[in-house]
Amino acid sequence: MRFFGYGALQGLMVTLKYMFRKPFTTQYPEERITTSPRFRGNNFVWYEERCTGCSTCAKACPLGIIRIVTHPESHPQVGSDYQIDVFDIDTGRCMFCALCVEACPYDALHMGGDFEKSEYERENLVISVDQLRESPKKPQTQFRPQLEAIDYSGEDELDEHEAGRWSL
Amino acid sequence: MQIEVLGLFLSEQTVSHVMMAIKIFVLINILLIITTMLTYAERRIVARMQNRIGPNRVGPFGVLQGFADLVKLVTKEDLIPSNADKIIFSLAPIMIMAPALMMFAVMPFSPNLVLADLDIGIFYVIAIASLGSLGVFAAGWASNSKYSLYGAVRGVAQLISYEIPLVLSVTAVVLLAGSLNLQDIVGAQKLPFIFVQPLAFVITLFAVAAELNRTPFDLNEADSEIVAGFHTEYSGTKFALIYGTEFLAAFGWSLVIALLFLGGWNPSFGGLFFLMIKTGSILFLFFWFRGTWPRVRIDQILAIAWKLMFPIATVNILITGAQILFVQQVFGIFPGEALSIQALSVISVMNIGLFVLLLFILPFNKGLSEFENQMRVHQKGIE
Repeated sequence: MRFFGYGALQGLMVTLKYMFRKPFTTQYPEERITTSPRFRGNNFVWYEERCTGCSTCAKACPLGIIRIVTHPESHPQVGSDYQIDVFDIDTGRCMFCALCVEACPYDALHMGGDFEKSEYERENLVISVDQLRESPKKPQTQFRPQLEAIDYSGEDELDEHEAGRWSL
Repeated sequence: MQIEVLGLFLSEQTVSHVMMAIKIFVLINILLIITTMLTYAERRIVARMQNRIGPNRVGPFGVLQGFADLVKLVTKEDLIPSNADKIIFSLAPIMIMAPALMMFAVMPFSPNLVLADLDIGIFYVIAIASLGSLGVFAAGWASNSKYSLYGAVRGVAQLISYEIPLVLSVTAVVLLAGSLNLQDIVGAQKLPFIFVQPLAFVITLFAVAAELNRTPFDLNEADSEIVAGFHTEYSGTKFALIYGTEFLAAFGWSLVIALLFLGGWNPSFGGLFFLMIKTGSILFLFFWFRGTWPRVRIDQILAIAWKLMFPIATVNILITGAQILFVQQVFGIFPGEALSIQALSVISVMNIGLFVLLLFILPFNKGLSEFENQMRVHQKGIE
């Protein structure tokens, strides 16, 4: 049995119900949302021990924003390898497509999980090799099936042995 | 004691004038603080209805948000559009604010807490409150802006339509109380008039929503259609006055409804504290409507007022008059004597029955269903 104003009352009941629900808002500086393990943040995780300086990532980058400068360093037993002098990633122009991460044949470069990098100048958005060395080693699982296989949450630090598919 | 000290230097009349000025000063300041808090309350309540939190940064739980907004508005540059009528543009916010403050002169907060105990209290309130529309039209006209003029014209067009049902539904209450004095009306409520006159309560509620430019009748500011309606061009202190008046008038009218229908300060239903709780409940209703309902079109508000509320309110007066005559005969109450609680209960049972009956009859009303069909056709056209 419908009476006059039934629909209006129904509407009022809906808003009343919602009023006693928990708000959806995340109070940002105090609270943070938990990101997905496959999140592509605006930083990178790099393992120098795994990196051979092959520059595959730089070639894979559609924007050409990765710049790698190496010099060969002879090694008495193993032979020659490359020492990395410059590894600049210009995240100011990066679109975080993770193609560099996919291209890396030695699982040395991974996406990071940060989303709070804001700077006043574009130059400061370029990640240098020193920043890459010092940054926390919390790789995300984008293009890294071995990390998803072990249900890695993206929040723990992994060393160079755990992060890659092949042993060093 | 202070009066005695003053009396040493001044005549008795001057002392009473000074005391009245002090009372008015205190009342206006309390009202303005309440207004500021209400802006916070509305944002907070509507936010919760939309699954948000609302302002919670300034002070504990954000209660000082209104004051922060006020400081922001008052320190802003006083902008006047170059093509505006400068004198009227500056006068309009005062013309809007003053009637809302003047309403409170006759509001009885308790048996003694009243500035002027007028015999025509409710008449004064309705008369003064409609003056605000003059300020609205002045603001819209003087702004020399299309959106402002749209808002102002809508406000004036809507004015006549909601004022009549409002006055007619209040008349039913006045008939029951036998007086226009707000104190007498409160005193006559041995049973709160919301139970005796449920229909008049609903009509008053919606007419007041139109009077206050609140959803679903906020046509003259209609922020999704005409920017901000009549106060599009206003900023700074003038905007603060206009924006504050909306909440001040909302508080005033909620107080009037609490006095007319919810028993007011009547000691059988609590004193001043409970009066404030009742006022708050009515205000919450308005915030609730704001969080729920969409805005009606101008032709719809005219149709609701003229085709629905006006005839029903008129018939309601007729029925109330007949009921009063009936209970006077049955209970042996002399004309002019206050109705006893038994008499009110009898009228209450009748009117609640009639109200429920009306709710179930209205969907069969041909004119109304035609109106609904038109709306459906209109909606289909949009889809």
